[in-house]
Amino acid sequence: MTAAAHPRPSAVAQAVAIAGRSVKGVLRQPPQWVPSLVFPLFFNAVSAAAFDRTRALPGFPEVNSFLTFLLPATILQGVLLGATAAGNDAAVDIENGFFDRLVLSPMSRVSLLGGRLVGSMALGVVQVVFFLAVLSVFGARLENPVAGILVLVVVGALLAGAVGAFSVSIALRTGSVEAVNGFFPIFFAALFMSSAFFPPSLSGGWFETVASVNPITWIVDGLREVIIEGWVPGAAAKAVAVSLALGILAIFMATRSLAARIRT
Amino acid sequence: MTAAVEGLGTTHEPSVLASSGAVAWRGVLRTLRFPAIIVQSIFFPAFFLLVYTGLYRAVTELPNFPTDRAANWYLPFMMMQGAAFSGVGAGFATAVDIDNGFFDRLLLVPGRRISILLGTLGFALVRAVTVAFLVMILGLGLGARFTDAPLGLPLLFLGVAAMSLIASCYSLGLIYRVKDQRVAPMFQVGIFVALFVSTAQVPLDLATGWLHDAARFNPVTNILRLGRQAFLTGGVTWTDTWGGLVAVVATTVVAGLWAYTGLRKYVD
Repeated sequence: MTAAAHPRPSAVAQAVAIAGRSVKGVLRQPPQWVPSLVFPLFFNAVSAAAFDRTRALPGFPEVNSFLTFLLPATILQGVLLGATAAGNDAAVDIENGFFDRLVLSPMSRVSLLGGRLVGSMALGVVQVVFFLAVLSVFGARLENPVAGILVLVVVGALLAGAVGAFSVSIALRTGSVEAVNGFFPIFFAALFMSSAFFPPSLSGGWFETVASVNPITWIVDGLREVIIEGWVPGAAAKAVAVSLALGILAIFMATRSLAARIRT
Repeated sequence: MTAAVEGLGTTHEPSVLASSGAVAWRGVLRTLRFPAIIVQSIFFPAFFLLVYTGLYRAVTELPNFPTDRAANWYLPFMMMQGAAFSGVGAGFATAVDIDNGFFDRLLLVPGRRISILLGTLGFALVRAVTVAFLVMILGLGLGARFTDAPLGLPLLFLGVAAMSLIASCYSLGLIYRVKDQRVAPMFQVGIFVALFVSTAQVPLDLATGWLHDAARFNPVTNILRLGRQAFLTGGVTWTDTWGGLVAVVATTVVAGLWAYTGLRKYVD
């Protein structure tokens, strides 16, 4: 009788509920999302003004401003900063016991994880749109705006999902907010050791070697080609495929961490 | 009772130096017990030094760049960044003390209250110099070379000490006034903005637009100019020194007043 009165919601509805909770949780805590919007913009503004003259160096890609050159870096920086909120939320839920109550509920395990990732991806899309809007006011240009926005939004969402899944995986393994935040420098290091802030071909030496094997470089290079040259299917596919691959790997890790957490 | 206490002869007020030393020593002990604190202070300047010397190597090829080694340009900045964030660490430590009630107990201890401020600054200074020294060793390993060590090195460490004091006083003044740990992220934000809206990344002549204008009026630019002379072509000159000395004294005094009046407000 009870079951008839309260039919179990579908997995999609459950995931939407968790995603909504995740987004609301982030929105209610400005310290979690304000830095992910302000910090990348500040860094972009400072670096664009500092390094604009380097566009004259031989071998620098032809681009209307350093601001446009930095566009992928700004978006990735924001997404990396913002998406760790999913892991923080999961760790807080584990620390205060709410996660255990969720596990005891008839909720599907897929929704438990998927909901958080959808929440991360939604925030990632908002960030990309925000950055594009602000930076275009200050002179950032997309050669083909429709294609550029589409690719940037898709990659932003996929990367937010990937980073979100990775940080949730750490949260599920450790149950500690501190541990989740402790992993943040890894994302940060990966971004700085890539082509995000300067062309590695000009840097040369060890940096060029490290950047060339860094997946973030493959994403950034793809995005940059789409931004500067317009619709380049190969470049767009490279950025999307690498982001998707990282996402799949991170979701696999998160799924295993969830199974391990439930077993204990 | 008072007479009896006075008669004990053990409750006399300790000197400012002794009580400041005790506060500073507590900070040193805390760091020794949790080496992760010093590792965290070193991580970011060391990491950014490594990245910047590799990433922006080609920047030195721009016309009029004052050195042909990226490490020479970025090392003094990273040393000062490490010093500044060591100063911010003093603010964090005080925020924790205020939150758990230890700071209020410290206020009840006999002795002048300014010792609490001076001791905290002293500890931050020790930490900053340690961090800066270790970052300098790394920088030399990454290819930085002195052009005028005898005069330049003392000026560089003067800049390091000033950045530590300024950052400590800024964060302490803030936490004394707000008395809430949640203000702590503002320590980093304020220092981060002050450091980067300067000649942190490129010389003033190469900066463009708003950054060029803002960096001209930022005292950090002069302090960096002072410290960088040890590594730049031409060595130490009075032209590049006097502005830095003025910036060091003026900014330290203003920041010191900000922290001192904050402490007075807290006590009141």
